Amino acid sequence: MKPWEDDETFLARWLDGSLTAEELRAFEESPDYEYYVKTAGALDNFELEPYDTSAAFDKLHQRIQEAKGPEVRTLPQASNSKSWMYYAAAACVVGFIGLWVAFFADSSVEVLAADASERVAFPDGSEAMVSKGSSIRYEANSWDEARKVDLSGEAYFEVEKGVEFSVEVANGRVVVLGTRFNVEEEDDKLLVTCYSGKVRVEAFGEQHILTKGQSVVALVDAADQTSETDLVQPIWISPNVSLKDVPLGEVLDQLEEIYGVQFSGEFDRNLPFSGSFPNSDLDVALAQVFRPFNLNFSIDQSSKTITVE
Amino acid sequence: MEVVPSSVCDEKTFEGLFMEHAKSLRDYLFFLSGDNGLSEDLVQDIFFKLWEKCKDVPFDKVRSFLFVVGKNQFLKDVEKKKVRLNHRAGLSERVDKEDPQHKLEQDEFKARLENAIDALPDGQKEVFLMNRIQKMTYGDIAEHLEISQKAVEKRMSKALKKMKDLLHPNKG
Repeated sequence: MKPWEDDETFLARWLDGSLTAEELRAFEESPDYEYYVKTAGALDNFELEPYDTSAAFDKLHQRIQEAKGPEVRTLPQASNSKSWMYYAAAACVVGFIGLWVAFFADSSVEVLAADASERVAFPDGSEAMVSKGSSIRYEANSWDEARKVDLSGEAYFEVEKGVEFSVEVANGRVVVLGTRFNVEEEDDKLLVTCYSGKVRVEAFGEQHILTKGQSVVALVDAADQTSETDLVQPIWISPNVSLKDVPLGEVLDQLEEIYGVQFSGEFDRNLPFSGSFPNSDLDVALAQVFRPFNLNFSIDQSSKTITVE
Repeated sequence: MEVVPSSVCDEKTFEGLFMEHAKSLRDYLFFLSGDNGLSEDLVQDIFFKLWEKCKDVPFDKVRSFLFVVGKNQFLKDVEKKKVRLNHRAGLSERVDKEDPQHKLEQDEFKARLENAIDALPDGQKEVFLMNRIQKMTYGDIAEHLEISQKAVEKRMSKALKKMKDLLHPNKG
């Protein structure tokens, strides 16, 4: 009888030293024994390829950062000095983890888009693109109960379904009843455009409900003005503006706003324009807008006036 | 600061989990696939998936998540190769210089060993290598693979018997 061949767990028990003395003695006396010893030890002088766990983690971390999107930054509230200390200490000790620690150590999150627009992801998956030079602040911990964002400057929002989502600015607030909208605030006015769904704008004591494609400029000392837009999102969001069947006059309004120029000349402002143009290169933009209509133009650099003929 | 149960979404916790499990996961995938580069890539993919699903995976289920997802991933898109072993650093170098004949014998033995491992069924192979190379206990292996310790012992016994028959044919 060979229990090492018949007993299903005999060899495993031998390897981890849990055979009874009797079982072990019988095994040791068998001619098979020395070959099992050799087999059990066969791998003792071998190892696997080494594995650099830290390097592997760095690689993974980079991938996770890339997946999060471009330059999403979360910063603690500047006015809370304690959190800043914590942030600084954490950042020194654990590098990137510091950002996270700060995020949770103080639930108030502020994002300042200093050099370029920045994308911000809120805890529920809603997102904002904060325009260059603007900033937003929100409470991460209480986000589930109250989705409230303080905005200074301009930002574009894409809101997930959920409880009321509001954007508070110095002169009013925008309460979201639907999904995508842009808010731009200046000292004495508030400009809100709704690109999808429905928003309610409350400013300077007045209320407006905006639906898809509607825009309002609320002014402190004059009647509010509403207008329409064909854009699907604000121009500053993407490097190219794409339009379909938009009257040339409105296209030029957009160009005036983007590049700070004026248009003059006699031409049909109702010609329908379909196409795209960059929002950072005036010469290319002008060529792309006027070429389809065979219109010529000249630029007066000093007065930033473009004459069309 | 409030003390909360470890969440896998906590970056520090996540890094700790990587440090703790990445190598044994790489080794495990290597045992299954025999391809080191691929095993390391899979480790990246699996942990990336864990990060994406961090809200859904409780802290104490992470290890089984990694190994189960790892095995599924392996079964899905991996072409199996033979497990290649390396001689332990130090030992082989010393021996090689002294005795070329010995090196030849060692290489032959290594090839036979690799062939024998390759001949084991997957279930036996993973258990055998986890125990013999990673020096994991049967209990640990059982937890990693989510099978009973008894099943581990059975596979281990079968694997050792088969390895002995392959390495030392006609003996015993």
